Amino acid sequence: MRESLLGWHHYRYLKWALALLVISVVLYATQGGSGAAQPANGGTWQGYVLGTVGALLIVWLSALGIRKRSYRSNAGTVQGWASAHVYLGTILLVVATLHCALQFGINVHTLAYVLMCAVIFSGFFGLYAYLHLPGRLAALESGVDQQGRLEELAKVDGRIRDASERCDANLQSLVISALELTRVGGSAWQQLLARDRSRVMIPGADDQKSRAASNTEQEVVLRHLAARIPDARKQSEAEVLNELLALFGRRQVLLHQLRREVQLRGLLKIWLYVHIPLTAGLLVALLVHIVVVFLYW
Amino acid sequence: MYFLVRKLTGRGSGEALETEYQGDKLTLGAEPNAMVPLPGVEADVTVLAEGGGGGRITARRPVITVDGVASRRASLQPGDSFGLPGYALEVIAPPQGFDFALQLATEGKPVSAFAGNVNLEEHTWSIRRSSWVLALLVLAVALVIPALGLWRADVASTLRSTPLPDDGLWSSGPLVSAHQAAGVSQECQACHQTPFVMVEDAACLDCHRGVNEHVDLAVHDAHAFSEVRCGACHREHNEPAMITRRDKGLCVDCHAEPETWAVAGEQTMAAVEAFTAAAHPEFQLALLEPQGPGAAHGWEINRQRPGAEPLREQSNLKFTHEVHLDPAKVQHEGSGEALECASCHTLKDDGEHFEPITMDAHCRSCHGLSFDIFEPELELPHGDLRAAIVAMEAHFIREFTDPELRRQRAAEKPRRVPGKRDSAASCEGSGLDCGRAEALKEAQYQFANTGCITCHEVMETGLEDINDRWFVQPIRLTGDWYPHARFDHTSHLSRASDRPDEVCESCHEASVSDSAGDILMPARDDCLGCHAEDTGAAALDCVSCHAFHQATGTLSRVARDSAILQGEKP
Repeated sequence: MRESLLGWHHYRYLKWALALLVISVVLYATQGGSGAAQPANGGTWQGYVLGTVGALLIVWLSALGIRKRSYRSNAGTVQGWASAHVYLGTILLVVATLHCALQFGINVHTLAYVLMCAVIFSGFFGLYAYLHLPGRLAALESGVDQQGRLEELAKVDGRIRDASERCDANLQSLVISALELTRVGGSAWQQLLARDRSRVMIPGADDQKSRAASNTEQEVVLRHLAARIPDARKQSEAEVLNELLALFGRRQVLLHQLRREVQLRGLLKIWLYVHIPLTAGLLVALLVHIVVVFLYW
Repeated sequence: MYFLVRKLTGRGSGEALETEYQGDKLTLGAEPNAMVPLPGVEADVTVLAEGGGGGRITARRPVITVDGVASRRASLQPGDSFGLPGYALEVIAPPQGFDFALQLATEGKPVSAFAGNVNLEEHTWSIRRSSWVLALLVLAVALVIPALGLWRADVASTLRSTPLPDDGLWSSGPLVSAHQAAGVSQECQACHQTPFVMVEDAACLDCHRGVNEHVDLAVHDAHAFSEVRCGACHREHNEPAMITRRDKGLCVDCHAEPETWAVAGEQTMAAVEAFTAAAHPEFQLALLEPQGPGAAHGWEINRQRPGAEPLREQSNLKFTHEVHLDPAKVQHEGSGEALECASCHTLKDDGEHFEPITMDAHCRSCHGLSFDIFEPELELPHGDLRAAIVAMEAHFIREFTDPELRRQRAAEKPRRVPGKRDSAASCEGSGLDCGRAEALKEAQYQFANTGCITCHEVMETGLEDINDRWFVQPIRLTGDWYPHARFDHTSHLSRASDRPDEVCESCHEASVSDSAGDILMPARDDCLGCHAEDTGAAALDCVSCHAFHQATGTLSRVARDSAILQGEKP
């Protein structure tokens, strides 16, 4: 069985992280109290040690992110790094909290802490995504990639266009509008939500204007086609309707898979759009935090 | 402007549908309000005619493909071809009456109609760009803008008075309430005067001008204390707010090794490492010692630690607590109740010391100095031997020179209390002589039998002159036994007891003291019972009992302003 990210080398980095946790807690416990020169805070020698460890961890974890950009690579050491990144990044939350002894305010020091928390929690989402989403994506793809699916969709659309030319004008305009008003993806938000915003123009009877209606999961057009079959007056018309029904059925499946795939791929990536810029902000805030501590000594 | 769009329909059949548009620009795309609907092109493409059939095309995103290169804008002339996702377009020569004409064909595959919409990268800021923006934003807000005030005070105050970020963002925690004052709380540079330099003593002493050093630098080598900053003991921006460090190290760091700052030729202080029997010396009493016989040359304070021999107080007072607290022997004059501690000892407002015991306030009501039975309300003045003698002589001379008074008194003389003094009725001399003789007799009686001698040691010199014949030794009671310590009677007296004096007696064993020389002050062990550090009971820090800034220390402002603390001896 493939060794998981978390269990890498018999939980080596989990053990490291727990050791660091114990050391940090012990260090924290030796400051403060009634007999201490000052309450627990970042300015005691223990606070400085915890802060230095935290800062080094942040820099190291950031450098790791730059060096290793693709978690999907299975090169052994990359997984080891990822494992260390996850565990030590999580422990950083404790180290930094003990460093500041839960003293917060509206200042650059708390800004650095908040940014750090945001980075770590976005990392938790990333971890969840990398542990669970590739499996779902693989199950969805079942050997066909996005490009293949788009090509098949193109073929289906072509056949629908061909078939629609054998229909009456009303049906043709309905079918073509269903093709043209199909929506997949869109803005980042729309890609992630994967909500079907497809529409269709339903032709009005006689003088009435045609109106646009929601065509979620191609249901309206499918229902329309199915309803027309019993009324077909000619054999050829029934055949065309059947063919269109089958094609739209396939189109429904393809579009659904495509949307889900776009969504999963988006979820796999979107957290990095938060994680990495926040890391950049954190590194600067960390630098400012350190400079300012000594600026107003 | 008139636009013509020729849409090729069917598959290669050459059929076309021409549509005319009128407006200042031609819009294409997937938006519902686009003039030319192009499903899949969600980029708001706009064409402006520029004359001669040419035009300019722009899009919200780089979707315009010219020669395989995607861009957001392009200049077009008739004959140019370009692509939009899912469509091939060609600029054609506009027919008569039109400014711009486009030929539009759907690309063979609708693949590209979706291709642009299913990649996250094309719909978000790049990670790199977001990272730069956030990093620079943090740098500007948290460091650069507040730092502008470091060089110009007016810029700093402008920043503080507007919503702009100021150096308050650099504060690592709230100030203690005493420092939440104008001129300090907002003005970081009131204390942090030089960037990258720890807060200097001068900044503290700007406001705190009356603070004394811990030591007298005229006695101790200032060099030994040159490393000590105000900030070594006083820390700001802490939560919970604690301006003074309260740990043992505050004192013990130096006092564990007193030899490091010992003064040559003087006894070294005892080492202190903790408040325990082993690590804290016995308390040192400040004993008043009379100088010369009967304190004729005044008093000096002598600091002494109790040893094997009990120390004695040398106040010259004749007094026992035992008798005065015995209800059978002494009672309140009016109520007849027994005396209690508070009958004489009144706590001062400081909660530590007591009002001084005086003859007039505490003794005279019982130990009156009346000297004539016929005028018992007439009393001798206290504390001035010469005045007392003058008072007696004046009184008796008057008695013997006033015939009417003399006759009146002589009639009553036989009723004198037996055993007091001889009747003066037998005096046959002049009024002056008789009065003087009577005064001498009364003085003898007052100094040697009753009155003064009750409480005072009285020396009889044997000299003839009435003024020099007796010497009453003065009494001086100790006001502060532990002058360098702080103690709060109020908090200790709050302990519950059935009899008020029980609490007092738990430390001061007065009711068994049969001598005024007994020292009733509690010693170290009395305190250790509750406050020993190693028992974990009501442990105290050093500054609970000992003040740091000593009244006898050098004035800090003077010491620190001069070069004393740089190692020069004053």
